[in-house]
Amino acid sequence: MIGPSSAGPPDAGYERLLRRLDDDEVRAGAALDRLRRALLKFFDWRGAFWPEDCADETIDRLARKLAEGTAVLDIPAFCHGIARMVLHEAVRADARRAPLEEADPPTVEPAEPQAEEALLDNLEHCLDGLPEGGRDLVLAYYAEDSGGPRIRHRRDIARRSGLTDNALRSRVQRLRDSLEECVRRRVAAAGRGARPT
Amino acid sequence: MPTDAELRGYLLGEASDDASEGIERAYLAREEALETVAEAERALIDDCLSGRLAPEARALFETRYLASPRHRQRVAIARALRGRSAAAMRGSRWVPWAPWALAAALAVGLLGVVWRLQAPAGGQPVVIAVTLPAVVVRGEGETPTVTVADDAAMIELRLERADAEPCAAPTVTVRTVEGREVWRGPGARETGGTGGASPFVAVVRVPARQLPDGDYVALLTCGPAYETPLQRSSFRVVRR
Repeated sequence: MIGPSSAGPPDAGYERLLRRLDDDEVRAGAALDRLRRALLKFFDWRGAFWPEDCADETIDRLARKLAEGTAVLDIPAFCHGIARMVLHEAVRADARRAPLEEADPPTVEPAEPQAEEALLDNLEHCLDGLPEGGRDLVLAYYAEDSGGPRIRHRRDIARRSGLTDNALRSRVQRLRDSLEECVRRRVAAAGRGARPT
Repeated sequence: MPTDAELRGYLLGEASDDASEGIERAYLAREEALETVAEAERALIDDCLSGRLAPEARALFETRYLASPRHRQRVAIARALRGRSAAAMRGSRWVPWAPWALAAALAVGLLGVVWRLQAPAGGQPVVIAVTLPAVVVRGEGETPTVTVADDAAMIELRLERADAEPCAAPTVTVRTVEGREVWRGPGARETGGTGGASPFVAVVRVPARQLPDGDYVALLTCGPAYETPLQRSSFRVVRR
């Protein structure tokens, strides 16, 4: 069943999962965080409506399997199998639900001016909330470019930031994910009539 | 290692089951693989917003990728970030190159002003900017002309709006005079035009390679009413 998380995860299974990911407790937590993020992206790219819930459900099921003593040789590969089942169930559940009223039809074109203004306001607020230097980094990275100049431009940013190309890409991606999550929370809060934080 | 085309196919729902499984197993196991797919997604969105997607790919993007409300919001954020980034770049990197600009201004006459933005020596793209005043008639000898060198990466079109009508989300479409669309994308807004004569300016940057020699029309539309342009501005591209 996919939906809001049920009563807490099976502790024994989670303990086993963390130990399988890494002997060190801190590194294991980081590895679990990375796995969850990858699952989030899996469900997002596959079009699930609630990627966070699906990712949590997948990890819960993985933990339960480990608690039951199931032999798992390859955690990511086993996780992938579970995720595909969860996705299949989620897609069926989404199709059965009454369609939500959609404010924006599938088009690349900009939304109504008021919605666009609200988005810009939310984006500015969320850019301001990024960590030190994050705002400038994101804006510099997304400055319009094309082809070869884009690659030179980003290598220049990486060099000035003291990062490798891959580290820069990873950092910007996380900043972008944070931005998106922030905007989504604010839009959802505005939709509920609550004061956005 | 999947190719860019394979990753794009995956994101557009076109990859085979085997290919999808390979891509997914890789990014579930390695963070670097995850970042590669995320970067491919960003490039896909960027290509769409820049009008670089082929019609078939754009159709897939709109019917498959944008079927997700979360993806629609992602595209909207990307569009807003691009506009915000462009505004930030213009604020800190305008370097008018006076001798060239003067010669260009004399060459094109009184209706268009062209700048060459020479980036600092850090290797940033060279941008040629042209202002298209709020003039709707295209006549011989009056068409703003932009001369493009081989090293120019972008052509910045600055469309001055004739009236004070607010346009929160301008879109600019560039077509050949025969009507073929060659580029479309969102514009950044600026207030004030040349000499303060115009209350509103829509600014877009078009990859220079998409505008070979010829005459073009830039159509300015606002919000969802993109079928009905508010303004048409002619310009000419000459390569040297």
